[in-house]
Amino acid sequence: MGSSRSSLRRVPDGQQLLQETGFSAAVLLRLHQRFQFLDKDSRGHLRSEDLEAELSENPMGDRIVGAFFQPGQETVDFPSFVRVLAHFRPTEKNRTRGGEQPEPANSRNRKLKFAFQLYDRDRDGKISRTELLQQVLREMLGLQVTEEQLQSIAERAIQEADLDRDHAICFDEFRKSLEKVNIDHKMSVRFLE
Amino acid sequence: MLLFGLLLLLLPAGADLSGSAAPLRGPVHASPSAPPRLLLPQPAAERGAPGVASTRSAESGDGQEEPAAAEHPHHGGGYRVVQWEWSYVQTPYVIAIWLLVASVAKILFHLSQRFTTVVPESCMLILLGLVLGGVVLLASKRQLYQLDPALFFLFLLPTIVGDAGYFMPARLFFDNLGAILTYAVVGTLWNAFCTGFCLYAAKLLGADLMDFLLFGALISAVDPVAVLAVFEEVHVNEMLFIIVFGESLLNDAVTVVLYKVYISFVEVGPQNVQTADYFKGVGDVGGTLVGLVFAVILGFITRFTKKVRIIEPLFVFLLVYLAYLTAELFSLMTFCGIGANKYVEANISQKSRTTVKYTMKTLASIAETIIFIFLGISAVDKSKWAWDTGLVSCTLVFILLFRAMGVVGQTWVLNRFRLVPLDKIDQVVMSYGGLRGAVAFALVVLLDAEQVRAKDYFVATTIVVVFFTVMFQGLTIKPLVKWLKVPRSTNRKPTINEEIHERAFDHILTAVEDIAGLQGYHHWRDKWEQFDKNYLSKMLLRKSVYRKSELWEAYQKINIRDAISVIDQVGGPDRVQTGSGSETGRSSADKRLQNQLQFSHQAELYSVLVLVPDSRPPESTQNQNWSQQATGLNIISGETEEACRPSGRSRKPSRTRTRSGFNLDRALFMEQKPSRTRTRSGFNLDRALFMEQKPSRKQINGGGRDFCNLSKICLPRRGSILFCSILFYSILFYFLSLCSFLFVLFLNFFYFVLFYCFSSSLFYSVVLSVLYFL
Repeated sequence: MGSSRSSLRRVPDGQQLLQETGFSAAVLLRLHQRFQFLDKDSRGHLRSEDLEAELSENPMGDRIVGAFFQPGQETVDFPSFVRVLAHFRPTEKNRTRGGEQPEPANSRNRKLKFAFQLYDRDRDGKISRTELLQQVLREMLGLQVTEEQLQSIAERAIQEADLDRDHAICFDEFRKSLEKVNIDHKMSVRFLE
Repeated sequence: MLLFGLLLLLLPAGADLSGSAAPLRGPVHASPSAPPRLLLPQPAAERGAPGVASTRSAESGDGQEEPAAAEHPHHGGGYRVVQWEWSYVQTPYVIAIWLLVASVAKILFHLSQRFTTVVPESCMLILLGLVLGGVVLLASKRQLYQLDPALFFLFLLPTIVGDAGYFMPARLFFDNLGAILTYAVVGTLWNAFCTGFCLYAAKLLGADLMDFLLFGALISAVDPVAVLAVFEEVHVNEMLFIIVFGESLLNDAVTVVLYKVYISFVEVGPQNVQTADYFKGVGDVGGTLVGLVFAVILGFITRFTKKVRIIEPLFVFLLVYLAYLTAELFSLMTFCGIGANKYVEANISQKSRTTVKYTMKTLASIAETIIFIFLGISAVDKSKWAWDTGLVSCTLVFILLFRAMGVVGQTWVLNRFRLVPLDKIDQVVMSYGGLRGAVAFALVVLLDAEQVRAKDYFVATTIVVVFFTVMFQGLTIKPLVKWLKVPRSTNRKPTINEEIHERAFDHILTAVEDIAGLQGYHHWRDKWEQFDKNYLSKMLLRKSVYRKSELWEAYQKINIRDAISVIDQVGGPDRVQTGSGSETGRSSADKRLQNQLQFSHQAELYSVLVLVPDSRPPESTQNQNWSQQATGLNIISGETEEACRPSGRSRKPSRTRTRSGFNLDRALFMEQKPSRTRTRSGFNLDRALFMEQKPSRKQINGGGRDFCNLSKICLPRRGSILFCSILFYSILFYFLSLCSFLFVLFLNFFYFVLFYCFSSSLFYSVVLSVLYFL
């Protein structure tokens, strides 16, 4: 623990990130090493090309990459990198955190919010039909289905989830439609060594 | 295969009898349907005619005469003719009668809804087996029928394992594969060694270490049949079920290997241990590999069966069975059928799918029934075992103790690696759900009495352990699960949103893993999906199927369900909306759907439902009035056709609102109940058609209860009939056990068993009376 503590000093904002994200020191170090590996020119921040290079053909790939970057920014530094990844940490079962602490990044709500923002590219708080149709379904299904079929699916999806009849899915509706899915399982990645 | 298998059953019986009877007597039955009676098909007492008390007592009366009659040498020419014909049909006849007994037993058990909720079916079957065994013993003074290990391993077990493997949800299985393998291999080894050593240390029987290790090996295996029988009625959440069930399937390999190793030790003396260790690791993996190889072959064959649709189910059965036998060839136990599902179901026609599903479940159900009945019967054979109280009690204590310790220990280790940790409640259910069953019994009977001198004691102990776990643990696990508030299986209707988002999450997680540089689970899963898409599916799936997308298929299914539920809801005024309250906004969603679906005439809908299926592939429907939903409905019509037919109803299910017709519709489309529901008619078929998530063979009371809600007017009268039948049934047991008890007063084991019967039947009748009056 001592050695990793000392090497943690090399990580910018190391202590604070530890507390904020709940990662262990070992994982944080590893992520830092990964960050440095991706940052090939040692600039201290990443651009989208660096991240995209790692992905194999993935329909949601560019959305994920986009999620790392705040709107308007072209680069992402290490704390932001880690904060985004913190959403995918497996949730712990203990609920003993006090009321004054902010909700941890990997709580179910935050995970869902993150996923919602992936769909909602224009950040207007709603997933509209076109967003769902064009961007999500088209990318996921590719050329396997016809346009008409895609439209049916999108229409059906919106209809199922849309409770206030505005032909778009807001965050609450999104959350409600997924209430039976085990988000802790489906949106978690093991960061263990 | 069952039929031919049961031939084996009769051979020992034949051998027994021909030894004792006069050599001239060709026919091999103990009670020569007493020569005075020329009626040919007169099933004798030990054949166990359909469980009706009067017949049985009459036959027991006949049975008394039989020993005398058996001494008769065969009579003159007239009887010879009669005898010859009897022996000609005897074998299949007896087999058929046994199957009939088993099936009628199931009917009788399910006469009472309340009874079946409290008592798992396996318990009742074992009790019935005990009774039948007692009857046979009375009739012929010797046990004619028992669970023959060859029969068990070659015919009964593959049906059950094949059924389970074929319908196993592959994704869930592979997600939890680490845990399953750990429990199967490490857990079984731990149980086997500890039990063996501790029994040896307790210095019982004076037998040596090897014998006890052997016994420990065979008693430590969790049994798939028993687990399936009990857990299917309990409905724990899927992850827990798959872990326990997967473990029970895979640990057979370990058990059998250990068993063979120790057998060779005992026979030959200690030899090099290295080969044994080597085998253990290879056993499980090898077995599953064999299964996977055959799954690939099956997928490949079904790709080309378009022109020979009628024999498609045959391929499925043959290859699954061959996979099992091939693994048996190498002394492995395979998880046959796994992995095949995805490709085969896509390739074969709808009718073949139905056939396969229905046949497999029927066969597996019957095999399970037979296994339990024969377990009961074999227990009543006093020539085969010896009772040692110390051994029995020690074994019971040790297996429970070591199972609990093993589970706790392994879970602690596993939780450091798992995404979703297994908590204490899961561990309790897992350790309590470690039921032993017929596999242990079959293995113990296979022991060579010369080599293992304590065999008889082992047999008795195994019987007691099996009975205890199946009956006691099986009975109590349901209240335990309820008390512990174990998360039960969700019976949610899959929505299109869930389908979309779950797939999206998979991609998201893969991307995250790639970015973070982790070669994690999702990374490999994605690689496998790519490989599957690019190579495997191309090879195994038919071209027309290959191009379809899974999401679209899922969407179609959901749409079909909703479309038909719309029809269902706009049906007659006597329709009862049970359970619709649990779905929020459901009726409004359906109303919107009604508007959305572009047909407005119910008559057109109905006519669509009776369209001819499969011969006209759905894609070719070029009716411009219909939207894609109508294409979906054409598919439904095919399925509804199948669904209608077994129930034997007229072709307009939506019109004939008979009680059972309603069940048909409800079965198809109302998913409010757990999907293992089944009511009386052949509608398990229908549920099987649509609810493809959970394999189910068992019946719970959900459908029946719903049924009762519907027929509230009839309930009191119906209830009193049920109550009477329950009481009658319990009194029957009481009486029979009392009779048997009186006859075999002198044996310890019988005393125990029959006391058990007696008290349990009393207990059941008391419980049921209480339940009824509450």
